[in-house]
Amino acid sequence: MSSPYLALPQGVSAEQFGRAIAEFRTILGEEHVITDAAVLAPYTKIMLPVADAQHAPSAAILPQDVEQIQRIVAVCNRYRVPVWPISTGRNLGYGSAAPATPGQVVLDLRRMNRILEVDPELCTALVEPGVTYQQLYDYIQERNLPLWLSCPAPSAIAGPLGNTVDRGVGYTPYGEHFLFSCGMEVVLADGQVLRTGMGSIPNSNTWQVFKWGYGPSLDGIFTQSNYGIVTKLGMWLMPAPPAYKPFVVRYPQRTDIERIVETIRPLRIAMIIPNAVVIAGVLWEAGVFVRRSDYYQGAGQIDEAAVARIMKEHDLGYWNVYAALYGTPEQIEVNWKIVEGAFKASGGEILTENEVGHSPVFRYRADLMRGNMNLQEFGLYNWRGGGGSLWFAPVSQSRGSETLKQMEMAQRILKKHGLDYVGEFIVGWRDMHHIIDVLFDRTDPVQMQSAYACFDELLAEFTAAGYGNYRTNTAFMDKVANTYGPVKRDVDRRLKRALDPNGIIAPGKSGIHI
Amino acid sequence: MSLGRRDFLKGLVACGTLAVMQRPAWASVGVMSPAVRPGESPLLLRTGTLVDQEFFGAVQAVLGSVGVAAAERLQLDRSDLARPQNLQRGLQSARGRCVVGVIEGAHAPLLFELLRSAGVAVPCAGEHSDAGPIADGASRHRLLTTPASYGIAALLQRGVPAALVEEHALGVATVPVPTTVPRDQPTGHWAAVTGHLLARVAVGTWKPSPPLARRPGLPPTDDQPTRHYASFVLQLPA
Repeated sequence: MSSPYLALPQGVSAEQFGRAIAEFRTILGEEHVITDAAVLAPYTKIMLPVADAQHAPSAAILPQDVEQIQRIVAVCNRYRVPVWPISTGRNLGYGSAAPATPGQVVLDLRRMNRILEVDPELCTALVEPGVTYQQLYDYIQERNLPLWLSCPAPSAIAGPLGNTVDRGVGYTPYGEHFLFSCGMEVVLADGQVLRTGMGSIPNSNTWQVFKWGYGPSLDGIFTQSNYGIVTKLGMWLMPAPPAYKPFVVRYPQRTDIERIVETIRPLRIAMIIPNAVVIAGVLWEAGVFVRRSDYYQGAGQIDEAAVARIMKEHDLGYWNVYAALYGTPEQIEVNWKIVEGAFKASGGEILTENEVGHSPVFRYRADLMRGNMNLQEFGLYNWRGGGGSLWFAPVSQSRGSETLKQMEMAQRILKKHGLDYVGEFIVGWRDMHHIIDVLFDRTDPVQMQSAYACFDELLAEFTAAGYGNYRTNTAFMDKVANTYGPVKRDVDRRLKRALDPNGIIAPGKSGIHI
Repeated sequence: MSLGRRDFLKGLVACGTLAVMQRPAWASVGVMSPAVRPGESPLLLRTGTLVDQEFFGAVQAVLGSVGVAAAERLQLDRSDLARPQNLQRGLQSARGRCVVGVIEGAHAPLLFELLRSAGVAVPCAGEHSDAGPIADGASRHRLLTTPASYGIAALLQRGVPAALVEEHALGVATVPVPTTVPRDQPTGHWAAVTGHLLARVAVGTWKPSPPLARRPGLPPTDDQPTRHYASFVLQLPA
């Protein structure tokens, strides 16, 4: 039986869907409703170890303002057609722009790309979903404003609203993006528009300065969820410091991770090092500019001899710690003495811009730690090739013993499945985000199966050890939701039923269904 | 990294108006007219990959067979593929045109992200792996096809019998089953076969046929392809 559509939402007939599409066309205009297979093709690109069809959209629609979104959700409710909102859609390794379940309509918010306000005195901004970090960066540069951004690795092409709402991180002192957001505007499934925090007060001028508002603070429930469509986000921007001192500390042994973390933790908690420190493993460090096949052609995990050769030939540590100091030159001088002393005592080799400023790898990290745009991390896709990438992202305490344990667990499981440990730790105040890129070749059916099985096993073992993932890809959202237990799932579902009883917004996001 | 905001915004919202699509009677999942307009040749995206000679040699042969003498080259090189503002400028310069190309696989994620942002149509795209410049046995391929290109995977498989080929055919459509084996079945290096097939999609001489059926129990591979590529036909909005 043929259908005029690539896929249909579950439980929706072609006729019903056709009526919804016709109404979308009336609201948005023909050119902003995409059902053509060739134009939809880029929306179907995923890097996951599953069939593309599992995440195929039925259409994509592109509204330009809140009023159009309100009319869209009315249509969705009428015909039970679900929409999958994306801002810039750069969730690479987490599902990209494709929906969690097949047949959803991608609600592509890229036309809503206004920078509504930047206040250089209060150091705040208010942006729409389609604004990219590059766009905001250019806005700030053109006006010579003394403000820095904090961006994730896809930097230029990603967007602050989308990254923050998915609780992504950056590498500056403002790297915990959701923490440094302030106020949202959300279109609810019934078409009402909510402004969180102080935004609900008419004519408020404190929406972007005070997070909590009155009564229950609601911003969190609109992150990593499907309870509403976020159409504006307030952000706090870092004032440009008078001075900035990036540095790297290298350690030669795998087991050094334990004392690295014990050295960093007190410096982070005391905010002597104020930014999200990255402890990059050697394969992550090398992977952005080295091909695996140039060092190892075997089928299994890359062996230690090949890793040692990479370290030697490219002058890399087994662990490479990137951090920075910010402030006046006097403040930096004082803190540098403390930092240098601590790292030297731990046995690390400390290098600054004086020694490694010329290195593209150092420059890439130095750029990210000051919020400059740099896409070098895309080079990781060259490590193994074949377009497969899955981020496994458990959280640990900021304790050396914990990070050593997690690293060894991950390496063992990846080795069992013939995959490499390409990982780094991002050091928060008291937590570590352990980010592992499970890289595999999607043209190899065996590697597709291995990558899926590997992720499954990582999830099971880490959960059994008490470690939860902070974020995950669309193929594993239900499984990760299960690891947080039945009570959390029940509460999530009850909120969903209250706010979106017809389940029209992103069904399956974070494992939340009606 | 500096970037003119106006150029950047233009690049991101380039899909203001899509080309009007023609729908042949038999196809039912949205079909494009040939990506190339009459009298115009596609632009070729050449970035110096190891398979350029095979791929573009075959493309040029198909273009020659339909009367196109020499195709223009899209002005993008390998280093541009890692710089979004350069890619966006390249895409801007090709508005309304068809592009056929092959690039190293690592550049594909960024390219496809920008294609989506610009509303570019992709009638066909491939992911390819091989064990080096001359090995056409140990190669693997995943083809994304649309109604304009359904079935090209079957010809790639027939043309490179030792290769492992999968097709992800977008959508469900009723396509006529060909009653005869095509006379111009290309054979040889996978890049040449792929170039031939993509060029035929671009110029509209490809007759869609049933997508390649998924083979159960795909054999494990001992060979470790070490080179990865992405191929594509693109139709940029005017």
